Amino acid sequence: MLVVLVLAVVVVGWRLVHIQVLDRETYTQWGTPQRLTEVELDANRGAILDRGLQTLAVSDERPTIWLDPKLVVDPAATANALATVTGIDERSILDKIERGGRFAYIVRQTDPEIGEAVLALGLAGVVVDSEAARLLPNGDYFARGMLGRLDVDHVALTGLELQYDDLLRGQTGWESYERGRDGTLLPTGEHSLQAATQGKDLVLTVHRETQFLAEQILVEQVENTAAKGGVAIVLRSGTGEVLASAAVSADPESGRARPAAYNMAYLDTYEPGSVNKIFTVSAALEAGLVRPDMEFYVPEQYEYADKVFLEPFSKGRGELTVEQVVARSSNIGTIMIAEMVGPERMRDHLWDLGFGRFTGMDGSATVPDESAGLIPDTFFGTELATIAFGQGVALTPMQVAAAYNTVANGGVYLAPTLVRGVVDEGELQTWPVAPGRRVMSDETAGQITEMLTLVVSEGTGRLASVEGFTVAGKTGTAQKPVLGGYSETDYMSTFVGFVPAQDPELTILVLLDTATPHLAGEVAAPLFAELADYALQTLRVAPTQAEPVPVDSTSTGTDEEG
Amino acid sequence: MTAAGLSAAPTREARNHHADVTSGFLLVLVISLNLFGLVMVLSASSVAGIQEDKSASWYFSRQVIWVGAGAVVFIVTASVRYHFWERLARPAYYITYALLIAVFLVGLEGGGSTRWLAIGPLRMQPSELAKLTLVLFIAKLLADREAHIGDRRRSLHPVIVWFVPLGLLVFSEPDLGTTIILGTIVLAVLFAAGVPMLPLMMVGGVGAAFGAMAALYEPYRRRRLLAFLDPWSDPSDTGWQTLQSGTGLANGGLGGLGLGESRVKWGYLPNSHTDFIYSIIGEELGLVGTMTVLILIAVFATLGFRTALHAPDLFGQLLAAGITAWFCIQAFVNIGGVVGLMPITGVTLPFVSFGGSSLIVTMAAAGILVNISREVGSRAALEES
Repeated sequence: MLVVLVLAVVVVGWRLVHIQVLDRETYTQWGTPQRLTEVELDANRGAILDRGLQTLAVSDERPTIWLDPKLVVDPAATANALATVTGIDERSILDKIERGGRFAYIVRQTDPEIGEAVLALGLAGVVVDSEAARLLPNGDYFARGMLGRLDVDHVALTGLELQYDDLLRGQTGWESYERGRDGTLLPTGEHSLQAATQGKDLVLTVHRETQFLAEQILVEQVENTAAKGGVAIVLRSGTGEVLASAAVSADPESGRARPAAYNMAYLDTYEPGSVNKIFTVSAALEAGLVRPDMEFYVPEQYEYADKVFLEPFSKGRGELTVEQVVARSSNIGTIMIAEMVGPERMRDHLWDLGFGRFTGMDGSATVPDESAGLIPDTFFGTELATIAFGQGVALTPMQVAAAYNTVANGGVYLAPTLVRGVVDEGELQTWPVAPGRRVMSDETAGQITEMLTLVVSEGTGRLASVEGFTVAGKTGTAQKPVLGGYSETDYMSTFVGFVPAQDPELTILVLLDTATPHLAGEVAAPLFAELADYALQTLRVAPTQAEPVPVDSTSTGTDEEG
Repeated sequence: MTAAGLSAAPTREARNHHADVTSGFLLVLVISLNLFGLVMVLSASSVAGIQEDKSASWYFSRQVIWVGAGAVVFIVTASVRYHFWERLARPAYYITYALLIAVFLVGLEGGGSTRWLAIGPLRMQPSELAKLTLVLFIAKLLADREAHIGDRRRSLHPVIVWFVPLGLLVFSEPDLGTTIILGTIVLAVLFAAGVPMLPLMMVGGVGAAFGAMAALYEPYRRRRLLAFLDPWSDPSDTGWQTLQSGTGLANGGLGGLGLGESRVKWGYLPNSHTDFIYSIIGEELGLVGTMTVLILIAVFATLGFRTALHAPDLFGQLLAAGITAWFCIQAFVNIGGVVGLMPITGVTLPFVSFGGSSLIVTMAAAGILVNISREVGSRAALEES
C-alpha cells in the first residue's frame, strides 16, 4: 500500500512540476490571450491653422445615424419619422430597411441637432453613433486644392492633409485589460496602456484673409474674362513664406469659376513668356557682359540658328538700352543679350533660379506631385533664343514667383514654404527655415529691380501700381503651345512682381489661363495691385512714396507686350 | 512475565507516547486541511458567488457552517469508541441502499446526473454517505468472519454480492468518480483483511474492466472522459476544463500569484471552488502550495495506514484501511483530474473542496480514524513488549 502511495505522489508531483514550472508556457500561451482584451484608442486628428492660428480645417465628433434593419419594428413608420427629422428621402430609407442585413447608414457626420432629434425619436433598430468629421469653417472650397481632403472615414486623400498625415493623425494607442469570461474587469489583472499620441496642429504660412481675397478676386476675374482658370500667389519676400496660394478653375460648360481641387500653383506648368526675359538680362549683368544703360541697335528681324525672328513690338526696335529692352519687352533685344550670355551660362543661371527642379531648398518637393518644370539640359538650335523670351521652358507658377522673389530678396533664392510649424500640446513650435541660396549679386538684383519699376511706372505693367508704393514687376502674355506651334488665340497672362520695390515685403504672381482680353497688363496687373494693396494694409507696411503717383500719369507705355 | 510486570510502567508511557503521535498528528492534519480549505473556498468561490448574483461570501459562509457541523460530527466520532459503530453498520448500509434507490427514483438532476435527494430544505448526496456506510459494513462483515477470511465463498463472495448493486446504483447516476472510490474502498478492505490474492485481483480486474467498458460505451461520454488524454484536440469544448485547470496551475508557477489573485476563477474554470480547487491552490500559491497539500495528504495516508497496521482488532484494522484508502483514492481522482492524469469525474478534494454532504461524511470518517489511532499505542506497545 505504501508503495502505491509513494508511486502516486511521485507521478502527481512530477506532473505538477511539469505543468507549473517546465511546461507553463504551453498553458499560459493558450489561456492568457483569452483573458486579454485590447482596445484601440483613437488619436484626434490635428487641425490645420493659418499663420495666425485661425482654423482652416479641424476634426470634431458628429452624429452618424445607422440602422439595423433586423431590429426595425415598423419599417414604414421608422422611414417616415427618420425622413422628417433628417430630411432624407423617405423612400430611400425604406429601401435600406427592406433590403435587410444588419447594418445600413442613414446619414454620416450630420448636424448635432439632427443626431439629438433622431435620438429623441427612440426608434427601434436606429442607432446614433459619434464619428470624427473634418470640418471646414471657411467653406468647402476655401484653399481646397492646397489643404486637400479626407474621405468620409477620415483617411487623408490629397493635399496637405495627405502630405502631413503622419503628423496630423497622431498615433493610435491601445489599452489591454484582463477580463473575466463574462467581461468583468479583473481588479488585479494585467493592465497595459499605450496612450494615443494626439495629432499635432499644422500651422501654415498662409494668411487666411489674403488667401480668401486672392480666391475671391481670381474667381471674379476668371469669370469676367471667360478664362479657363487662374493662379494667384502671395509670398512674403524676406522669408519665402506663402501667404496665399489660390488656384481657380472654371467649369467649361457654365463658365462658373471655383477654387480648384488641386494645388495648381505647384502642379501645373506653363511657358512663362516675357516674364522670363529679366533672367536673360540678369545672367548677362551677372557675367558683366552688359550694363543697364548700355545701348545697342535692335533690328526688326534677327537670324539665330537658321531661324529668322521678327520683333512684334514697334517700341522694341531701334537704339535701345538694356533697361528699355526689358521695359518694352523687346524679343530681339533679349535674344541678342542671350547670345552674349551663351547657352551654358544661360542654363546654369536658370537652374540656379530653381527652374527645372523642385522648389524645396535641398531640391525636394514642397508638396506631393509637385512639378519640377522643364528646362533643356543643353540648348539646341533655337532653344537659347526662345528660352530667352520665355518659350520652350515649362515652369510652375510657384517657380516663377520664387525666381522673382530672388530678385526682391537681393539675389538670394528662398524656398517658398507652406508650413510655419506645428502646435503640439498647445505650444507653437516653428520649423527652422532653410538658409537661402545666392543666385545673383545684390547689385544685379538692384539693377533688375530698377528695370522692373520702369515696367510698372512707364511700361506694360502700369495697372499694377499701388497707391503710395513703388511696384517692381513684369507682364508676360505668352501664346499657349499647341500641336506643332503656338496658338494665335490662347494666352497665358502673367503679372509677377514685388512691392515696395526698394524694400520688398510681398512678392505676388497673378496668372490667368486663356483670358479675354489676353494682355497681362490688362487682366493680371490689376489683380496684382488689388492683392498688394490689401496685403500691404493687412501687414501694416508704411507707404514709401510721399505723393501718390497717378496710375495713368505716364504715356510712354504701350499696350504691346511680349 | 516478571519482565512484563517490571516493564509495566514504561509500557504505559510508551502507549501514551505512540497514541499521542499518531492521533495527534491526524488531528492536526484534519484541522489544518479544513482551515486551509476554508481559505481557499473563500478565494475560489467569491467570483462565482458574485456572478451567480449571490454574494462574494455566499459559498464561504455556507462552508463555515459545514465545517462547524463537520467539527461537531468529528468530535463525536473521535470520542465514541469505534466499536460502537459495529452495531450500526448493517442498518446504516440498508438505509444507504434505500436512499440510493430513492435517488434512482426521485433524485434531483443537476449537471447531467442525478445524485441528490431533497429532504425538506436540505439536500443530501447519498453516494457520499455510501462511502462511510460501505466501509463500516464490509469491515464488520469481514471482521465477523475473521476465521474464514481464507475461504473466498465466505469472505470475497458475500462482499461482492452486497456491493455490486450499490455500485451499480451510484454508477448509473452516473457518478463514475464515486463508483471508482467505492470500488477501491472494497478492494482495499478485502486486501487488508487478507482475502486470497488471486481471486481478489481477478475480481478487481473484472470490476475495473466492466466499469471502463460501461463508462465508455456511449460515444458522448467517451469523448468527455477521454478528453484528458488529448485536451488540445478540442480545446473549446471537451478539453476546456482540463486546459483551464492546467492554465491555472501554470499561471501559479513556482510561488503562485498570491491569495485571491487567481485568473481562471473568473469564469474560465467551472467548479473552481469544488472539483477544481486544487488548480486554484496551484494558481494562487504555486507549486509550493500544491506540493504542500500533496505532502499533507501523503502524511495523512501514512498515518492512516499505520493506524490500520496497528489497530487492536480486525474491525479497527479494516475500518482504518478502508477510510484511509477512501481518502487516498478520492484525493488521487480529484487531483488526477486537475492535473490531467485522469478523466474529470466531479470528485471533491477531501476536507478542502466546497461541499456539505462530502465534508460531513469525510469528517465523520476522519473522527473514526482518529478514534482507532488512539488505540494504536496499546497494540504497538503490546507487540513491542
